[in-house]
Amino acid sequence: MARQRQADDFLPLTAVVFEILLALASGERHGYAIMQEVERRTEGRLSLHPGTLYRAISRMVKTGLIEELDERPDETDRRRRYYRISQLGRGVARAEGWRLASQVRAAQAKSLLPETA
Amino acid sequence: MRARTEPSTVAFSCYRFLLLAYPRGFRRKYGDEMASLFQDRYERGERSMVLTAGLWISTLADVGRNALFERFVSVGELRPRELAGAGSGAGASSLAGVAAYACICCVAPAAVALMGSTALFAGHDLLALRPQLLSASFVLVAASLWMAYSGPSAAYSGPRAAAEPGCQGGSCTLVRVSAWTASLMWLVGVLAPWWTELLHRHAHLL
Repeated sequence: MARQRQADDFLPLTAVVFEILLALASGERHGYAIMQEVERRTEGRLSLHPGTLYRAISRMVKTGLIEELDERPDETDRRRRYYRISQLGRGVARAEGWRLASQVRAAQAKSLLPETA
Repeated sequence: MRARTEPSTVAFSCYRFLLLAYPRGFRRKYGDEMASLFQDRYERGERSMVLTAGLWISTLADVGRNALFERFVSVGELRPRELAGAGSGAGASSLAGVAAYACICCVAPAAVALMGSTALFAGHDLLALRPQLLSASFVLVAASLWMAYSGPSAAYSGPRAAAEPGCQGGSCTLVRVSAWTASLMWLVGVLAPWWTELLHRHAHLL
């Protein structure tokens, strides 16, 4: 029987995968909305092109981090596929968040970052 | 919200043409959305020539990089029997696609680079053509194809493997071509003028 993949198996995440998980953590979105949310959150520092975005989405659907919705909530454009974060994806995003937080604490301990960052 | 209609701009058509670089399965599933997303980005930047030029440059890089990796991933995920040619048309079709794409991405730049260096040496030494360079190009082509089709094997397990007929214990061994191998193919082709010149000048092999 194949071993169930644990959240830690996916770490560390790439910036693109983590940003997609963050974008989907607040609700289901289609590709363009994910791209807009990532650009908004990163203030334009990370801009996802179609190839990068959909290749990442394809991998994430296959590994079970996100799920594709069967229905199309937007009736005006039925071509758009919607995605939502899975339970596994939420656990992976949480684990990555803790990992990054630990690194921030380490940087603060080395006086590379202020304590309030 | 207005209903989206199929855009018919030249830019949109060009992008749809670029999408042919992706494997057919990936293109069928995500092609429409990718084109739609490109169109949205294009409309945001089309008022500025600089933004439009930047978008096209980054789009070409995006398609080149991701289509290349997706091509190799699609080969990596073929089952061994498909790779052996005993499978259905899907495997053969995918392999043919990869062969064509390998020609475009690796063999063609390598051939152009070798032709360029041949012309350089011909001008320098007043020789019409160096047969050794042609031999080297054959070696390069053979090495590229070998790397494209073989590469290290890796154990694959998970829900997909569990669903595969003939895979023991939910685990299959698949032939994969890693990102490193793909990058190496590019590097060998791109650096061909440099290494041929190096061999020519210092080792007198060419």
